[in-house]
Parts: sequence; structure tokens; C-alpha cells
Amino acid sequence: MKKIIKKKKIKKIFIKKKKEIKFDLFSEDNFISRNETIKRFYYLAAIILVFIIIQSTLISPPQKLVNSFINDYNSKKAILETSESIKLGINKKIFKVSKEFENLESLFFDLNKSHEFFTLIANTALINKLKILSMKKIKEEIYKTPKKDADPKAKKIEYDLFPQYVQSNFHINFEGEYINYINFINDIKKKNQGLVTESSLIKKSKNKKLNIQSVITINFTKSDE
Amino acid sequence: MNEKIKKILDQSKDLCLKILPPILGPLPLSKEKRISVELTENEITICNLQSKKKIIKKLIREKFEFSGSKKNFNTDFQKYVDQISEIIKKEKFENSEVNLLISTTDVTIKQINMPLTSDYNLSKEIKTPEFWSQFSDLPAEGIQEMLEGLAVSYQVIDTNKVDQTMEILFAYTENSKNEIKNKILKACRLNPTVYEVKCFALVNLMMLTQKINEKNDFMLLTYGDNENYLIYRKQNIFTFVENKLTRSDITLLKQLEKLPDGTGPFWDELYDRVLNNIKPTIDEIIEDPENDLSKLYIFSELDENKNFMLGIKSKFQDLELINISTFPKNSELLPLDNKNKNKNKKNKKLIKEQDQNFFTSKTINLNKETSDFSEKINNKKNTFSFNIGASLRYLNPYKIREPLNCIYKINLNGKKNIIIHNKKILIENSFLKFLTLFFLILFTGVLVFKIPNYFKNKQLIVDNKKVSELHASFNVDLIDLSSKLKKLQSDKILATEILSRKDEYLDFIEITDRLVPEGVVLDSIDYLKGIHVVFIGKAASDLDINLFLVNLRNELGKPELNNLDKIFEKFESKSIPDDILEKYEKDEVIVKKKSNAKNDEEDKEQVNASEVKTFKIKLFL
Repeated sequence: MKKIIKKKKIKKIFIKKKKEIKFDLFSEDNFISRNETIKRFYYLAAIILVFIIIQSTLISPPQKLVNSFINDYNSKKAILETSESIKLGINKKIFKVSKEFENLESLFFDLNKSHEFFTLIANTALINKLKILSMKKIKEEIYKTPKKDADPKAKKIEYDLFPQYVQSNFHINFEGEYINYINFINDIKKKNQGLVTESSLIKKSKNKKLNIQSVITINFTKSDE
Repeated sequence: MNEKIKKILDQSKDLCLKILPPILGPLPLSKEKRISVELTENEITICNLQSKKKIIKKLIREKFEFSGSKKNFNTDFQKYVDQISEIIKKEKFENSEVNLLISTTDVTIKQINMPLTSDYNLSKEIKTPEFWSQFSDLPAEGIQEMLEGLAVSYQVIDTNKVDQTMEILFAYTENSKNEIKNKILKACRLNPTVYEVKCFALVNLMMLTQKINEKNDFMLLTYGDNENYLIYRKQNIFTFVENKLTRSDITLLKQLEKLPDGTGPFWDELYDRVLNNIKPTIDEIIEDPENDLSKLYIFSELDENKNFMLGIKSKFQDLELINISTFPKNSELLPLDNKNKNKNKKNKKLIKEQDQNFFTSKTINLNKETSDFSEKINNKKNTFSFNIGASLRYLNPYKIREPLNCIYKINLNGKKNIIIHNKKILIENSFLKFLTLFFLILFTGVLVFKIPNYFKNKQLIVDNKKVSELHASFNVDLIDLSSKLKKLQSDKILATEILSRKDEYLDFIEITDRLVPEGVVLDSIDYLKGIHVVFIGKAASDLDINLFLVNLRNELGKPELNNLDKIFEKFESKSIPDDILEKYEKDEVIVKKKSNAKNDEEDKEQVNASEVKTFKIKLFL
């Protein structure tokens, strides 16, 4: 037989303490001092003052500062966000222009390698059955152009100088057929587009060949090497 | 220096006095939990009026029944306290402020005319024996001692700025008379702050409900067990005339209302005795040519007064008598005997018109509970008027306009100055406490709200420096790159410009070959770039020269024939090598010239022996 043991439940009895009722019966015997009021007033003033100080010294100045630069900041930030693409774009342009410029420059003779020019002249003349009687550099100067805003009536013309280019004038005396001379000029021009014939005197020589005295201008570049 | 500081302090005080009342004034009015109490040794009467809704919420009358006791405040103090406390607790009036009614007979009421002065000065002046010496009814000596035990209250009811005078309603009573009531009520956790004189409670209630404003004149006759007086206001002068009645006359007046008819020489004599003190005053007012008073309000502490009203009607023929009772009556008619039936019938209508109660105008109303209560009570109904009138009053420390504005605000609490001062301080303290808490919460909220923004701003400032530096370096890079690009572009343009210079000489040489006609042989070509070309040669005829000139003009420019001569010379016609012919085979002109040359072979022999023209042509480029 199982004994059923019943556990007695112990009830906890809580005695609720009645709240003491505080009555707002203020003193009629004496005048209440104003000290409490003054103290509370100072508390209030202190709170307002502290807030004003915090607001004016801590919160407000950064806000004002931010307000003063925020538009500038945003625009700068927006620019910086696109800066890489801008740089890339410009670099691409530079690369392209640089490539184009290199191609153009390759058409010039290098002043440091002026022998190439003489080789070219000699070879081309040989190919075109022209006989070079004489060749002489008569002038060499930095490339220049008259200034765009210069006064055309001025006695002394002002020039824009381009030191990277040197312009040389050669006096070359050929002998040969007329048609060979034309071919020679064409071949030179293909190799160097900057060639300009300044003057030319074509005469018949005694041996029924032509004597051609030309002054040609060749533009050289000055390499850094 | 001190005077200046004093002046500034006074000015700031004045400013505070102007600013504070509208701000702080409504606070105590809205918070005041107030009841009016009439406490006698036999019973307590309580009225609770809700001023905002203008409804009487509670009317209580309870008798004190202490077995084996003579009912004395001093001896049965605790019994009173216990019974009142029970009522207060039951009705939840604890902590209420009390307008305590005091009997008019215990109070002296005067109106005096004084030179115009400030409230502050007046309050000081009233405390001096010199002020009191003007009253002839007071003893000449011992005023100072008397003042110490007096509760004085005054109210400026009119100021005349032309005469520089003011009318002051002035009331005083002995403090000791109400001290015990005060103690009992305080012990019951009530707060008696206003001591209202019964006559002012009645006048205020009458003025409010009968729509009499502070500038209107009125006349009120009150009679009954305790309150017997005539109050009138005429041309801003408030006058209180006490009407002392003997106990036996009051008993007769009570008996009168129990009779069916109140006429006859016996009762006439009673009316004369009752009106003895006040009738000359009323007659004097009526006979005054400038008088515009036509109504006499009559209020009786006794619930029934119809016979009295009919009886005194003949005494005041020129006045309209208006009987005011507290509550609406269930039956206006009394049983009439046959003898006086006709006479009373005539007066019936008049009585109806002349009977009014304080709730007729509906300025204030009863709720259901108080309405039921008013119907149930059997006696001393009218005495509730004093309680209802007193319940209109507020302590009103900042003297702002009240919801139910009372005209006469006499408070005979001897400590009212302390109470008002302390109340103001408590209000200001709690207001400051509230403001402090409010601002504390507000500022904390503002700061909590702003702090994240503050940190964000700080971060932005740091970021701005970095961004500015990056932007500056980007600008430098951009300038470098731009200048580099610009330089390259200008170099490219220059190179292109140099390279694109057209060598006109080549074109010129090519064209010249085609321009020379068959009969022309060139000896020399002198070319000077951009200036001129000089052709020197020989021609077979002028025609050939002319043809050459035409060709030059058409293709190159304006030729100028500088020299023309003739010589005889043997020369071969122009022959064109085969390789050149092949090269220019597509060129029709050349081919044509070639074919022509072959066809004219015979003529060639003839030309060899002919005359030849020499020429010099200059062509400007």
C-alpha cells in the first residue's frame, strides 16, 4: 500500500502596508523662507546655463563649422569619387596624343643623328641617278613662328621660339635628269614631310644634263640624349 | 549705489508681480480642492462646488449627537474631530481647503473713504493705532492690544483718481472666535484658508445668480434666526445696516408662516418692529430723487416667508419685493381660507413672479444627487445659501479672475497673509520644480538627440580635412596631367604644323612639265619660294609663248613677259623619253602631245631652220 503523503501547502501571507497619506497642510504659523525657492531657481538657472554652455561651446561650433563646409565637402567628395575615372580619361588622352606625337616625331630627323639625313639624301640621290655635286649647310636655327598677337607694322618682328625643333637650310647642287630630280624630291618628302624647298635654280648644263641648285629646309628634333 | 540697487530690485519685483500672476495664478485655482464648511456646535454643513462645470457636487448636513454632552467645541473636541473626520473620509474631502463660514453677527463691517494709497501702504497703515482711532465706536485706549487679537480684512471697491480717494470695504472680527473651529478642521485634515462672512457669501451668490454686476446697485434684506441685516450698494457705497431682532420676534415670525393669514394689527405691529431699524434707511433711499433702486431682495433663513412677504408689501409700496430662496420649491401655493381668498388671488401671480431661487438663472446648477438631497431635506433649506455662496470663494493668492467671480472677497482668516505667502512659495517651488524637471528632460532629450549628430559632425570635420587634402592633391595631379596633355597637344599641333607645310615646289615642278607647250624649250627655271618663278627659254613662235602664258595664267597665277627676243638657232624638237611616256600613259594631254609630235615629223625639219624666239617670263607666286 502506498501511502499518499499530502504535502501541506504553506500559504504565505503578505501583509500589505498601508501607505501613509501625506497631507498637504502647510504651516500657518510662520512665513516659509524663500531659501528653497531661491535654491530651486538657482538649480533651474544652472541647468539652463549648463545647457547653453554645452550647446554653445560643444554642440553648436562643430555644427556651424560643418554647415560652413558641407556643400564644399560634398562637391569635393563627389569630385573625388570620379577622380580616378577623370585621371584615367586624361591619361588615356595623354597616351593617345603621346602616341600620335611620337608617330609625328618619328618623321623628323634627330639633330644628334644628322648623319641619317645625309645618308638619306645620298641614298635617295643614288637611287634616282642624281649626282650630288655639293652639299652645304647654310643656316641652322631654332624653329620659330611670328607671334600671333605681334604687331605686323612693328620694325622688329617678334617670334615664338620652339627649342625642341631646329630648322636647317642646305644648299645642294645636283646634276641629273629632270624627271630623276622630281622623283628624288618625292622620295625625300615621303621620308620626311617637313622638307621644304626654299629656292631652286634649274639650268641646262653643257653635257645636256640639268644642273639643279636647291636650297632645302629640313626640321630636326632635339632629343634629350 | 545702494539706492540704485534697491530701485533695480523694486523694479524687478514689480515685473515679477506683473508676470507671475498670469503664469502661476491659474495653477492653484485648477488644483484647489475646496469645500465650504459651516461648523456650529450642533451641526456641520458642507458644500462642494465644481467651479469649472458650475455644478454643486455635494451638499452635506450632519448633526452632532454626543450622548450625555452639552456639545461644546472645547470639551468635545475629539468627538467633533472623529465625526467630521468620518464624513471627510467618506466623502473623500481629505486635504481639501476650506472656506469656513463665520456668522455676520461676529463681524464688524464698515466702508471707509481714504486717500488713494498703494496696497502695500494700506496694509501697513491698517496695523497702526492711528488708523483705528478714526472709528468712534471703538474705545480710545487699548487699541494696540485689541489689534493683536483681530482678524482684519479689507477690499478696495472703488477708486476715484480725480479726488485721489478710495472706498474701502473693511471687516474685522476677533480671532479667538474661530480659532477652535480652525483647530477642529485641521485635526480633521482639512485646511481652512478662507474665512467667509455669511453676509458676503449671500451677497456674492445673489449678485452672481441675479446677474448683478459690480457697478449695479442693489438692496438685500436678510432675516432669520441669526442673520438679520440690510445690505445695500448705492453709487459704489456698500452699506451694512444691522437689524437686531429679539428672540421673541423671531419666534413670532416663525409662527406667522404657520398661519393661513398674516394680516391684522398684531402682525402689523410685528412687521413694524422687525423693520424698525431699517425702514427709515430704505425710505430715505426711495425718497432720494436720484434713486434708481426699485427692487428689494428679501432672503429669509426660514424656509417659509410668504406671509411675511405679503405683510411687508404694504410697507414698501414703491418697491418690487423679490423673495429669494435657495432651492426651487415644490409647491408655490399655501392653503388659503375663504375669507382671504380673493385678496390672496390677486397677489398669487405677483408672488409667483417675485419668488426666485439661486438656481433660476442656471448660473450654477445642482447635480442629480444634490437635487435629490434638496428635495428630501425638510427644514433649514435656505441656510444652504451661505454654504453655496461661500463655496464660490478661492484663496486665489495671485488675485486672478476666477471661474465664478465673486465681487466681495473678504477673508477674515487672521493668518491669511502667512497662508497666501506660504501658498505662493509652495506654488513657486512646485512650479520651479516642474520647470527644472521639464528643462532637465528637455535638455537631456535635446542632448541625446544631438550627441550622435555631434559625433557625426566631429567625424565630418576630420573627414573634411582628409577630403580637402585628397582634393588638393587631385587638383595638383589634374593640373599636372592637364598641362602635360596640353603640352603634348601643342607639341602635336606644332609637329603637325611643321610637317604639314606644303612643299609648293614639288607641285610646281610637276605642273610646269605639263604647262610647257610643244614649241617651247625652257633653259632655266629659277624658283624662289613664295615670291616668284622666272622661266627663261626659247619658243618656236609667239603663238607658243602665248600658249605658255595662257597655261601659266590658268594654273599658277599671273605671268609677266619680261623679255622677248628673236634669234636664229638650230634646235631639236622636244622629245619625250619612253619611260616617262609609260609613266604618264593615262595622261591624255601627254599622249596627245606625243601623237601630235609623231604626226608633225615633217614639219620638224622645217622648224630646225626657222627663226626662234627667246623669252623671259616672271611669275609671282
